[in-house]
Amino acid sequence: MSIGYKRALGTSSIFGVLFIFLIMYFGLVGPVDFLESTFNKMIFVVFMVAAAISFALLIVLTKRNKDTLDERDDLVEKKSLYSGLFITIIYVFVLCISITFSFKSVGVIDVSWMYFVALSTYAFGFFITGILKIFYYRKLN
Amino acid sequence: MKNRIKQYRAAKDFTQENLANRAGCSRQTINSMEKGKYTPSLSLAFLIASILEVDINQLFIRGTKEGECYND
Repeated sequence: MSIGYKRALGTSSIFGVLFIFLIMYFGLVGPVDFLESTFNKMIFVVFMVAAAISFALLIVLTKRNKDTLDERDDLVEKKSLYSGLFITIIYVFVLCISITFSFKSVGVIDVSWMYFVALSTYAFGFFITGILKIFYYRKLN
Repeated sequence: MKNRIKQYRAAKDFTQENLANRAGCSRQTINSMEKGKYTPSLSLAFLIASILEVDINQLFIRGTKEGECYND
């Protein structure tokens, strides 16, 4: 297993968990109560920081490995970033359109939805890029 | 693009790990190249050819479809 593949596995796992947590927690608490409570925001911050620290640790720990990143890793990185960007744009587009149509009759949306769009895009972007890297590594092996 | 890396590597008695270390790439990259799933850059192709002490035209075979040019 190459260093790039290990990092892709780690990244998709960390941000996949974060993404699922964001959806579940936001769904459980609801958009109205979400930004009212400091506790809810703290839980989110703790999870976001934990994901960022885990990601940093993943990079540091895999760097100890004697394996090196080479041109094949660059190719996988390039392809996955390009495809990941495209899919993330579609995700944001679909999410925003869905929210718009859901609240069209009401005329206003809760500001916490914007918070959710921002945080979930961050998690989804990393998650999908990791998944795509795994896909391209498997394709090349 | 097909190649004869495995054949020339075996002739030199190199393992994939040996060749990867000399070429400055990962063992997985050498494995991908041998399976024909990854086409290396020109610089890596020349480097591998020089490590295996073989002409690049002997190592890499251009064209895999009918009508394309083969070195065989």
